[in-house]
Amino acid sequence: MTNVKKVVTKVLIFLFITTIIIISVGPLLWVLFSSFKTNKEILSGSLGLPAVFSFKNYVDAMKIAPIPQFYGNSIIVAGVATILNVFLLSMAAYVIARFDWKGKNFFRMMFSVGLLIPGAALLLPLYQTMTTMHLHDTLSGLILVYIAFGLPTTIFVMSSYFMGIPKELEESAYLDGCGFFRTFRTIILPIAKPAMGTAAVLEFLLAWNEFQFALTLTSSNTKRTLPIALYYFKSQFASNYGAMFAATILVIIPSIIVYIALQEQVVSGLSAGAVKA
Amino acid sequence: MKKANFRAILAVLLAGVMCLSVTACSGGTESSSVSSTVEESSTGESSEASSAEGELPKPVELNIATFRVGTHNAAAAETRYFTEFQEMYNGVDKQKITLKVEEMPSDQEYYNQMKVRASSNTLPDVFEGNAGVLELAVENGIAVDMNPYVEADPEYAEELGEDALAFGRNWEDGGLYNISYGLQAIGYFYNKEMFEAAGIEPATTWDEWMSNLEALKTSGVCSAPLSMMTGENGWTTNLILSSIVGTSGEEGNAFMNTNGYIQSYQLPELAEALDMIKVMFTDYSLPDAVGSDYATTANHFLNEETAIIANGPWMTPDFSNTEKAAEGFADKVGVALFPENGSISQFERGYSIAKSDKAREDAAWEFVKFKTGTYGQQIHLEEAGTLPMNPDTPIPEEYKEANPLVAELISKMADIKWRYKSIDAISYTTVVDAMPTIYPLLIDGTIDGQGMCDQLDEAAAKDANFGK
Amino acid sequence: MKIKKKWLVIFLLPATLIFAFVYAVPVAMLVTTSFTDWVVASDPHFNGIDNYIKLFTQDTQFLHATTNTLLWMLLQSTIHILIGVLVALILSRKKFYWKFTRTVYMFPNIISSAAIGMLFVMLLNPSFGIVNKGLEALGFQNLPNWFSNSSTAFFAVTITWLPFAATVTILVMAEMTSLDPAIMEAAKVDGATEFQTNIYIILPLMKNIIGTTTVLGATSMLQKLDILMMTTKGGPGDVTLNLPLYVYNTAFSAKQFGLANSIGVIMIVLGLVAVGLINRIYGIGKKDY
Repeated sequence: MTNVKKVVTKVLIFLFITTIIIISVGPLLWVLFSSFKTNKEILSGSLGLPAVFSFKNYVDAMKIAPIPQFYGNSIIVAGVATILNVFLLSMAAYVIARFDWKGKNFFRMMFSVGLLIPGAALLLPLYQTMTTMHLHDTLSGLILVYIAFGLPTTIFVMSSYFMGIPKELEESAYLDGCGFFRTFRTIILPIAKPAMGTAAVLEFLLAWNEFQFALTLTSSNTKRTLPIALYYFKSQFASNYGAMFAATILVIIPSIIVYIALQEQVVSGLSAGAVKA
Repeated sequence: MKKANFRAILAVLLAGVMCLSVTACSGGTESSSVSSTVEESSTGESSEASSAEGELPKPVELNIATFRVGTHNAAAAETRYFTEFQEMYNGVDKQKITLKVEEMPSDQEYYNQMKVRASSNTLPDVFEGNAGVLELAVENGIAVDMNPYVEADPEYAEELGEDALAFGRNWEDGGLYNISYGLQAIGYFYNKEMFEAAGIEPATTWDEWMSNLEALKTSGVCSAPLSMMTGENGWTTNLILSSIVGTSGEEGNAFMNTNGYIQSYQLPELAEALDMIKVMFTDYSLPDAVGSDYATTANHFLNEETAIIANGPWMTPDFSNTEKAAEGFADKVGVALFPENGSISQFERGYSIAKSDKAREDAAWEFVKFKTGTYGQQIHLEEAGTLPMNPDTPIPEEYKEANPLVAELISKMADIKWRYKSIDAISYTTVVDAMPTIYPLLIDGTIDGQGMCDQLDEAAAKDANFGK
Repeated sequence: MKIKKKWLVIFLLPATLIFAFVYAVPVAMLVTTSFTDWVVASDPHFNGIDNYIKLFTQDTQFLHATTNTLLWMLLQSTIHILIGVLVALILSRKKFYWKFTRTVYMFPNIISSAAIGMLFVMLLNPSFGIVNKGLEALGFQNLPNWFSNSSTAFFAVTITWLPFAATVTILVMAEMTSLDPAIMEAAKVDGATEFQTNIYIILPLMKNIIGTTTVLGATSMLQKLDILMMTTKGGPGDVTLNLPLYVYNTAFSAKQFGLANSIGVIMIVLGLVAVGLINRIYGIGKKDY
């Protein structure tokens, strides 16, 4: 009886995980295959391998859109935004999660407002603020905005992790004469590595893929980021989907690398883990 | 070791931030460099000395924004405009005007940006005011009336032609707020081989149009003869809809030539036409026509799955593009006017100038003039297949030879009996944007033609420009 | 624990400044102009609560968009979270496939939503899409045009985001790394089945993070725009219209910034209520140590 149950569970798990893998890998493979196909093949909805493997789409993609230039900007913007976002906002998350003070709940709610504002309503005010502050068409302006866009998520993620850390850890550190900031930096942050890695992934993806504000807040090609490049391939009467997917692959690769690298951080937190009681 | 690495990277990145914020602050105040398209031509300047003589007006840097980049079919034309203009206005024998070009891929995004800019009073010096932007700019006095410029330049006025000028002056106060750059003339393309096989000719009446579709279908030549779509702006579908109404008689034709925007869609001819459109979808189109975007529906025509697609001359290069169609496909394609000798014939809205100081406005005018004069029209014809605005402008023989289908369309235009605009050119943006969501209701039977008219009215009432 | 004022200020300052810089001005503008008749390129004039009255009494599209958004928020904070947590629990058993699965599950989140939108349009295409072809091979007939049929569009759109819960999975898994293996050992020794351990021991310890992912999941439905624009544009009719798309249409298609901002304010209120509610359900913010 229990054996039957076990087998059924195993089969169910197997089916479930297989489905998850298929719906996850499928899209990427589709984009990858499409990046080698002709427009005609793509528009005919073929899902399989391309008839001929050719890198023409990649060559076209480079010609049609200023990809290399945008690549550099994207790396700076997403890289800096991710690091600043995670470090600066972990500090806020820390005091919100672990200490009692007046107004704590107000701050928690205030920071969550960022999740609720429709992008379309932010576009004009942010454009105006950035222009007034002379941050329009600068990478710093874009970085600042992306740090803020990821602010609620990072604070939520970090504070929910901090909440689970036993307070004895800090108390003993204080007893040892360790200062507040040092305790945070040398005791709390290393423990929180898994959460930081995850928050960093989410922030990186946000900064790497955002289109609308990148277009609005920059005007010269020397300041623009990769998602804008993807729009060079689709215009009403003349689209080059092959090149678009080639560009999409070029855009995806760094995200995958960053994701896998940061996930290693999360896993390495395992050994440091086992702190929760 | 891993940890040390991580720290080192961090330190470098943080240092990077510092540098970045410093350079950003110093870079923000001086205007940053010209965009890549014109970089070469504008760095080739070394003529500062000559402009100092004082005879030429002071150098001006113009802000231009364009969506004609990447795969846009006029991208090559746009690059030529910028480069050639830059060469002419380099400060040697003409005023030095530098173009600072902002590339905004996707026209929809471009118009969104213009709305943000118009509301912040930071419109580019030259802009395109579709999607209701120009109406609001005129109403709020931030667009320049170009009449004085044109009056001072009769030669240019001639190049433009009376009709195009009248089109630009079609404002309450008679101001010339937009200058067109070309004429859209639209019929439909058909597959001659399939027509022959089904034993039919391009229809001269709409009854014949329907019987042609039936013939193509029942003869087994083509089970779904029409390339229809509802995605994006429903383009190919709207062209046919406009033509049914525009050729239905005086009243329908007047409706399709509405001056400004359609205020009410309550017109029996329109409701009937929509019912016809529904049948064209359910009986004579591929199942994916509902929801299809242009690329997909065009692909069906290029792959010889469908026999008819309504579209303008800019599509012709695709017929001989072997990446999109089979070798020799171009020879199979014919072009025809719509039944009853109807054709969509309308001016592109064109360019407008944003108010600033006199010197900038003058420089912006030079650019608009360059883009829309005879030479500018010629560039647009050669590079993007847009017909010139003035019917007297001769079309070069080489062009006609290289583009036989366009030549055929031009020659057929002599027979036009009904001229009208396309429905999206005379509909408020809210209506154009709502159509892709209303068509599926019509086709799945939730509403009928009259019901769609009612919904279009509702959509129109939502536009900020409605009733003005 | 108590905290010194000095450290509290120092630790909160960066986040608060960033928040103020990017959100304070826009939110102030959003709220003020929601009481005006502001349209593109013009000066706003106060018109009291006219916009709000109009929305609630005359605007059926707004009401549909609101109910759709609420429904999607509900689905996203239940089924979506459930899928994500389930994957996390399965992968935490560290079977041979766990690393691979965890990595690839994130891929759809990495690919631009424009590409994902196009993929689904292709998959569900009624002429050549694999879904209909597959169902046909199984003997089904009269298959719908998923995105363009009034009765299937809502379902088709939901499918484009509901199962992609990788964020939930990685957040829950990150939190699991901090679990004391001793707890599980103890449970095993006590004879608890794996299922019992999961339900009675692990999940309660994951309460905070699950609550957080629920907040993130629910509020993400207040930002869904790209994929709708790629697939249905809110249609047929307003079957798949949501509030973000309606704000977008009102601001950019109708050019009514004032009215759009009123909808924005309503969204924020709605979101705050949802966040408060979820916090309360999961007891987030209450001490559990």
